[in-house]
Amino acid sequence: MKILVVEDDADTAAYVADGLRESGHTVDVAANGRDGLFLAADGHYDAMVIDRMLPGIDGIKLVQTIRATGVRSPVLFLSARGSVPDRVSGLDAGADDYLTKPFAFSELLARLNALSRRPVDRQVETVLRLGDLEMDLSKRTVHRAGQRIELQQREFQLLEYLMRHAEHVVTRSMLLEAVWEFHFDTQTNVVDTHISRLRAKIERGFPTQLIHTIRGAGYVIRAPH
Amino acid sequence: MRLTNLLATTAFRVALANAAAFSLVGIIVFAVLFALSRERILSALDNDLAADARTLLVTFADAGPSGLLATMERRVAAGPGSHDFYLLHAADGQLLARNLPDFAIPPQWAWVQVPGGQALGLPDGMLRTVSVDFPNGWRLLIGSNPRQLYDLRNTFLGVLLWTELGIILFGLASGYFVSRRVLRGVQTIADEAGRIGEGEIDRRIPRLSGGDEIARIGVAVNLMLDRIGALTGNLRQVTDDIAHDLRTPLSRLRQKLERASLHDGSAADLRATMEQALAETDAIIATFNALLRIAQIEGQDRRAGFSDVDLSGLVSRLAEIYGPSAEDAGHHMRAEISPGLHVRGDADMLGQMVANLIENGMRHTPPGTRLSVDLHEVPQGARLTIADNGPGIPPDERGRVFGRFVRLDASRGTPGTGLGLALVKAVADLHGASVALEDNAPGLRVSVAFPRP
Repeated sequence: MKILVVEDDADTAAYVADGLRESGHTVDVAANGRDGLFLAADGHYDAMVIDRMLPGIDGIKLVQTIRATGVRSPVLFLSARGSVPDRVSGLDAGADDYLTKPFAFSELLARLNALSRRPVDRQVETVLRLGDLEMDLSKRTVHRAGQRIELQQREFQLLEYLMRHAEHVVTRSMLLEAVWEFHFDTQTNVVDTHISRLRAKIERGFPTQLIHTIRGAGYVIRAPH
Repeated sequence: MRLTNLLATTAFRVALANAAAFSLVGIIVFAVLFALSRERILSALDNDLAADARTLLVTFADAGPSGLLATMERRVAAGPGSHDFYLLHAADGQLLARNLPDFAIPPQWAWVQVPGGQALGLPDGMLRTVSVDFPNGWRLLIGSNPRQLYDLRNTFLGVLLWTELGIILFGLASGYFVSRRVLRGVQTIADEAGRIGEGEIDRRIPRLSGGDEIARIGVAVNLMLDRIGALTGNLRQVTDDIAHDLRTPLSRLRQKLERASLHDGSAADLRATMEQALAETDAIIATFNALLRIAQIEGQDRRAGFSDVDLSGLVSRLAEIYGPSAEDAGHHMRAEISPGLHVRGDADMLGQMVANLIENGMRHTPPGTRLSVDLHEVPQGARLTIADNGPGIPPDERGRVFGRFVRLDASRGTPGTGLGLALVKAVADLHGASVALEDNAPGLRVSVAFPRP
């Protein structure tokens, strides 16, 4: 992916850019809003990481401007402020996701992957497939190797999210936000229990593992090779 | 208090303006009264003159010029009375009779400045006159002494002068006393505020007598100081808390990093140490986040972001997400949630609050404990109850657990920041909800009562 990072703090910018390069992405860095605007309007980026507080043109203004000029690349806001009004104003400006500092790099990477894979026409897909796992979104049914699997509503949502981001790591907080709409920290790893119950249902009695735990990051659903 | 200070005060200027306005009104009233009285006296004077003129015209008609002349000479010989001044000229201007120095007789009604008139007892030598023309061409001037008018004027001027003097003195004096009183209050507040500004932050403005504006300023300033004091106390408390309670995890982190840098361990060892260090860092960040949240909430700068929150939905989702974890930990969790209950608030903060309460229940109780989450409508609004049948909290410690970094001895061994209930309290306060810790006999019951939205 070609990613633009707009961040005025040199250390954070280097941390993000180096990490993304190590993960195989091409990265451009801008240290202020003006340069960011110039690059964003010109280059075709698959995703942009933009700090909310920037010298010159601030992050909100920057995103509003590039959205107004028709740039549709997904934008992830980085901010030291994570309250509901802060997040809402950021998303209203046209950002697609919001990450509060300090953050783990794995979280940023997972979210960027999720953003760049965001399907444009969600409605068209009615069946998600992964190996022998099949999810029918209109009938709300799940089959594995032709065998019907009964899932509770949240388990279904959880699996749907994982399958929509198949082959990519999703973090616990991404799942908390997407499935339960929680934007706060939980001390206990509540997501883990739900994942293990889901795994029990879709993996027990089958020869291959689909959901994998990635240490220090989250989970990934992968088709068996 | 110096005079310049006094003159510079608003109260004094207002008093001065008042005095000026009063004296102006006084002058106008006196002027009108004077004009009316003068009119009266003048018309009385003129009526006498006119009556006299008519009498003399009748005399002339009855007795002819000689009779008139005889009457005139008699009157002149009697000497000047209060208004008996005469000057009679023949048609050719020849002087026929007089008790006045001679001068040309003006026609009709007039005021005449009589040469040497003061010697005749005329005020300023002025004389009120009317002239009478007889059929034979004679012209008679009848004059009247206007002393009454002058007396009236002098009386009025005298009274006016004293009255005005009184008004101005009263205005100045009241201005002086009012402003001195006000200044004294303001000066007290200014002095105290100065001392407080210099660092004596525990000082307060003394209660000023009376319930006037100045006294109210003092009360308001004291309230403000109390609030600032509470906030600074809060801030100091947070700083102390951070210093004390983050030092331990930070030293642990440092030790781990130090060990990793000094020992030539394998890559796997190093990795393990780094992961421990990361976990330690995450715990520190979690503590910081919790502290920041509490501080933000207590500073109450987030109420602006309030909106309608589906409390029933939120608590349901929380009960649902924690259910499996509770079961895995050997607890039995039961939720009873009335649908459709809403509050005004911040969904994230409320979610965090309920999550903290459920996690507390799970963390501080042994396996096999029954947990219940209930949300019901009560007359005052909504009541959330999170109860367990675990060991509970002794009554004398219940007030203490809402403090920051408070960890009861019984829970020292369990993970946690010691900020969970402090955050619960702060969120509840911000939402106007009350939190009560009760005995669940056995166990702990936490009740949060939300007001109606």
